[in-house]
Amino acid sequence: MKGTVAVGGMALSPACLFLEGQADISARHVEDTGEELRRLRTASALCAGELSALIEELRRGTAPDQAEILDFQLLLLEDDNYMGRIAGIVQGEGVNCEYAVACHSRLYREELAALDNPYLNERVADISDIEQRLLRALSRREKAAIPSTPVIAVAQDLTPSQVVELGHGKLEGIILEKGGLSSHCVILARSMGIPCIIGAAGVLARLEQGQPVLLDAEAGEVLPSPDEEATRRYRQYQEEKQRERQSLERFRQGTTATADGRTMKVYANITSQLEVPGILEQGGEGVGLLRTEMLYMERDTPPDEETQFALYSAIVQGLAGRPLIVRTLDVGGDKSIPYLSIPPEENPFLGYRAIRYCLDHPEIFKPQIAAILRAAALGPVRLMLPMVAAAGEVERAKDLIATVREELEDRGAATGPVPVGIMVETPAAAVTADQLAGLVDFFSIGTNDLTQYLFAADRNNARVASLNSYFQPALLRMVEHVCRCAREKGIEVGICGQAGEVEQLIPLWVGMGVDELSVSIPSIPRVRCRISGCDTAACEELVGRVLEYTSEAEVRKEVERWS
Amino acid sequence: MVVKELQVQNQLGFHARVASRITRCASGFESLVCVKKNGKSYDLKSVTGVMMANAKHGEMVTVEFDGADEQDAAQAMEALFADKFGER
Repeated sequence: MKGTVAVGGMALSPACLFLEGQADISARHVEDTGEELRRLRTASALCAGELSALIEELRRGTAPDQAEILDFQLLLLEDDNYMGRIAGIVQGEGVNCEYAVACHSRLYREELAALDNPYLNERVADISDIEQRLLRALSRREKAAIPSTPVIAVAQDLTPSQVVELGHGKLEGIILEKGGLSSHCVILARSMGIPCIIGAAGVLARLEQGQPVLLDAEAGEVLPSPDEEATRRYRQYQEEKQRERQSLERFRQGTTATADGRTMKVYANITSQLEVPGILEQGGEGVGLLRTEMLYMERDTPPDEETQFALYSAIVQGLAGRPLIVRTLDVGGDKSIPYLSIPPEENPFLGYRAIRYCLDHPEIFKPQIAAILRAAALGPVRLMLPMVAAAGEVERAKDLIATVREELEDRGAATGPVPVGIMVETPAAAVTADQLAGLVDFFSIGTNDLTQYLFAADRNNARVASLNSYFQPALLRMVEHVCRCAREKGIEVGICGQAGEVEQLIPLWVGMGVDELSVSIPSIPRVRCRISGCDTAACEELVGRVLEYTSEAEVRKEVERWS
Repeated sequence: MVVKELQVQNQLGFHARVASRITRCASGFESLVCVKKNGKSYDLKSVTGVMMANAKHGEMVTVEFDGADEQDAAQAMEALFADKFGER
């Protein structure tokens, strides 16, 4: 069986199947109606998220009419006569959600069917649809029994909390029938270093509960009951990994310095507070990039200031004095959020996204800024603006930050100092880095976007992949220029794109005077180890040579020879 | 309070799509927005309310707006009815 590799690695363990059962709608007495109502709200929010995403998809496609039918279901979720009465049944009769949903949906269908209007009579189908959706959501949130020995989880999809609950010791691998490369579950698996493949259709039907399975997330293969040959291959792989782990053990703690004693920092890129323990375990010195988009996804209204403050403060406290760089909302591009109603664009990567959107929508942007300023009262926090292309954007953002700070002071809310920096990810920002450096406190180079914008080459298009390479002299010159501008103005510069953790390139970053590399959590020890082997003067020389090359191949050859 | 007599001009009368549009429109205002019919009051901020009001093609309905922004709400709802809820 094949799937798409989401997180590389291998695992051999019994399969633990997560099957979504048919909901039991019979009436059951519940003691804790508060807890039951919480389940109902969670399920409702989950359905609203699914519906919003579907609606967005339909609106973009050819079926805007169907989008409105689904919008009707979305409205039912907020409706006093529908959801309100379901909650009333749970509360009043002390019964389970499933029963209340089924019971009230039937009643409401009967009311609709009794009206003398065929168009409304047909709407019983929508009621059945939303009923089924709610029941599915309720059963999905049921906690599956947590196994006591290591397993490979096999499921349609897993929730982030399931991944965390199963945790390191027990979760050896993940096989999903659905899943997306940027789904919450996959991002967590990546940060925890758990091998994972997605899109393995039909795998649930073909595995038995407890059957040994070899997950080869290097080749993207699932082997049920592996033979001796496959098992030997797995053992070999594990031994190699083990040796590598041991050799990196001492780099999982302490500070980072080059061979000649220049201090650098290795930070982590994260999306949620669930990843903080992983950072500490791998010896991360802080968070160089907290992506905040996830906070806005899977919901139907923007998160308010308190929700955001809760997240940021939990991370600040978890980091215990290590710095946290929060990137403000980077919406748009490939990340669409239905309720922000950004109209579909022909070219979203060149469109209305990130800082461009946020500056026009203070009602969305200000609560985020306020939450960041307040979290800074609890520990070192910095704010980073994404997709900056012009100095004017930075000036407007800084004005807005100053306004929010005044408003917070008027309210008497505690705040802390918050250095403001930018992602350097548009060629425009890179070219004007000397000017921008005078306006901000730090730079962080976002090499993923910078590369694709610089070469006008889509990173998901295999045909132009050779242009879209971190080894291209044009990109390296651009990064070097940004670093030089930062040094001249005396501000810190980091790299938070994937290029930061490519081993062969690390000597170049050292030679360019990069202050911090922000990388995925499992890479932290490897990156620190690589930095510790670099001599600054030799790296500077290497940079000088490499910048004169005219081809990617020459750069590759030089840095590989050097390694 | 503002009271409007509005005619349902689209062919199908209140149905699911129209209900969504009416509810989204009414919910954009602070004021209470209700249909009075046969001695009953139907909340237009609720899709189920709109459905149960069950107004058909050609029917005149009494819509009440009550609150700080009642004028704006009345104007918006009048426009939505006049536009046949965006249908024929």
